[in-house]
Amino acid sequence: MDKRIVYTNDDGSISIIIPANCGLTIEEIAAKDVPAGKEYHIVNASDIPSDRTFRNAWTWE
Amino acid sequence: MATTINGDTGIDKVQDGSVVNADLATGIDAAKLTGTLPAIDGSALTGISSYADSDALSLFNVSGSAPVYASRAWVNFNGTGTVAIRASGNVSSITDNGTGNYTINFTTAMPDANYAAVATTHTSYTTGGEARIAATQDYQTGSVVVETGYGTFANQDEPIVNVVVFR
Repeated sequence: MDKRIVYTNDDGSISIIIPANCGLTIEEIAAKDVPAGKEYHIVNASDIPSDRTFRNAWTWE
Repeated sequence: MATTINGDTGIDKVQDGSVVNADLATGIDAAKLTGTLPAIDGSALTGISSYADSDALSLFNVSGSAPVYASRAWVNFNGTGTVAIRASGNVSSITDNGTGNYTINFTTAMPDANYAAVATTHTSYTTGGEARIAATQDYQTGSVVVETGYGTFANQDEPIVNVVVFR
C-alpha cells in the first residue's frame, strides 16, 4: 500500500503508520490504529522523507 | 395419495393405484408438507476416521508428542529509509514512532496481554560496531512496541526487523 497515516503525538513528535497488506482499507486501518482522539492525515508514501537522520525532529505542518 | 420412487421415471405420485402425476415438483402442494426432519447425530456418519493429536503434529512435520503452538502474528519490515513492511500475518500496520521505535498493530487482537513477543534485527553493518538489539515493551492486546538499537541501547533504525508473537 503506497499510503501512510500521519498523526501528531502529545509531545509534538509525529508517528507514521505504515499499513500492512491485511485486507483492511487505509481508512479502516486509521480508525483502528490511530490513537483515539488524534487527528490524522493520509498521505502518499512518497511524501515521507526517506532520509531519517533527524527522524525524531520531524513535525507535521 | 402416496409417492413412489420409480427406478425408471424417478419419483411418482400415486393416487388410487394409478400414477397421476410423474412430476413431483408440481404434483405436491408445499403447504401440505408437514412434520420435521429427523435429527442427525454423529452416529449416522460413516467412513470418517477419528481425529488424533498425532494427526495435527504430523501436519507440522514434527516428531515426538510435545504440542505445537503456532504464531499468532508476525512481521518482517525495513526500519530504514522509507519504512516498509515486507511481509506479515495478522498485522494491520506498524507505527513508526521515531528512530528505532515501532508499534506493531495486530489485525485481530490477542486474547490478553500475556503473550510472548520475540523481536530480532539484522544489521547491514558487516564490520565493527556493537551488536544490534531488538527489545519489546508495552504489551497490549492490540499492539506491542519494539525498539531497535545497539551498545547501551541508543535507538537506531535497522534494515530488517522481525517480530513474532506466540500465545
